[in-house]
Amino acid sequence: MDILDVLKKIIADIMDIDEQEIDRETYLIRDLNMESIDLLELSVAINSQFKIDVEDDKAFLKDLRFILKEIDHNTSLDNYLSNQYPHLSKSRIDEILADLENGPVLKLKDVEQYINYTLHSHG
Amino acid sequence: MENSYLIIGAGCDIGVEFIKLLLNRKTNFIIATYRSEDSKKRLLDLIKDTEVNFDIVHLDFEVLSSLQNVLNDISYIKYVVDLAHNNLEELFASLKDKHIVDYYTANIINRAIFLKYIVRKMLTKRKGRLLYLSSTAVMYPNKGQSLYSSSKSAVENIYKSIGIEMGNRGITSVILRFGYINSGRALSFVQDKNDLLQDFLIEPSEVAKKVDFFLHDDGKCFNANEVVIDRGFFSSKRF
Repeated sequence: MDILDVLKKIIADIMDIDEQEIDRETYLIRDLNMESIDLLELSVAINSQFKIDVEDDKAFLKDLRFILKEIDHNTSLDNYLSNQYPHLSKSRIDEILADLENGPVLKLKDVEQYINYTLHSHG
Repeated sequence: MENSYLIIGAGCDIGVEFIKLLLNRKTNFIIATYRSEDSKKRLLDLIKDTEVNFDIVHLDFEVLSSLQNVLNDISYIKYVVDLAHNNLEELFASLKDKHIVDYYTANIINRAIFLKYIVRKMLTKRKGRLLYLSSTAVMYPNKGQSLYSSSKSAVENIYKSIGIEMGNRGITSVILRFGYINSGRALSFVQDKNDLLQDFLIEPSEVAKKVDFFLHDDGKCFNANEVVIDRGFFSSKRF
């Protein structure tokens, strides 16, 4: 079973919804109304399933708005976010920055990429 | 290992009485922690003729590696009974700086970190119950109990927060504030006082029964709250 399938099953269990309601482009907070306790459960489940330590701030982009607020304006935003979230591609970071005004930006594919990156960086 | 009970500080009189209750029911998968070699011996004596699955492990909140070892041994735990609290009685202004730092680090900070991981393990099954044995000293500290009462108060609020935040995920907590128990640090205090206190003493075996009640299903409606069990001592005019 690949990472995406495992994640869909975990989230479906946590949110008591059908797996078919979830895909890579699903916004976890905006679409599924996941709350902090749900993300905590997701973090614990990822830790248990994939045997990796989950840094919630990075995996769920929890510190994104704080970073954007605190960043020095002379710093390149793209580069800075790439350093903070090395699991995200440049194109995904651009997508996120363009999407900020619409609400919480976290998508399932971001968590998938976090797991993928963490597994390979420790592998 | 999947244990059903984690009893922290199990080597004290209350821990021993509580374990006796569990053993009488042939409860399996108990993990009991000790801090001193005396406590370890006491626990070993307690289980020498039993056939239940029982682990005795070292856990000292002053020693981070001991916390990690216990966490490594546990994949899931259903019940936590926390009886541990280091003793340090001294007038506040007499305390050494290092003692203040070490005491709060062990009893609050390290315990909080440990509990965080215990709760995460409980969350994997959405099931867990935590009981913290506190003291009426939180409300009415005696002289010399500044660190003891203030750290107990902080720990109470950690347990309370766990119950508040995790209650709808099947993980609940309860705090029992006991008055004078005929055991441990209270014993020396009580023996120095007049007979009045004798009427309010609670035996460790009685404490164990209350722990048992509030830990199990019938007690689960008590969540994220503290219960005072002192035979009415602090409600009485004599106090």
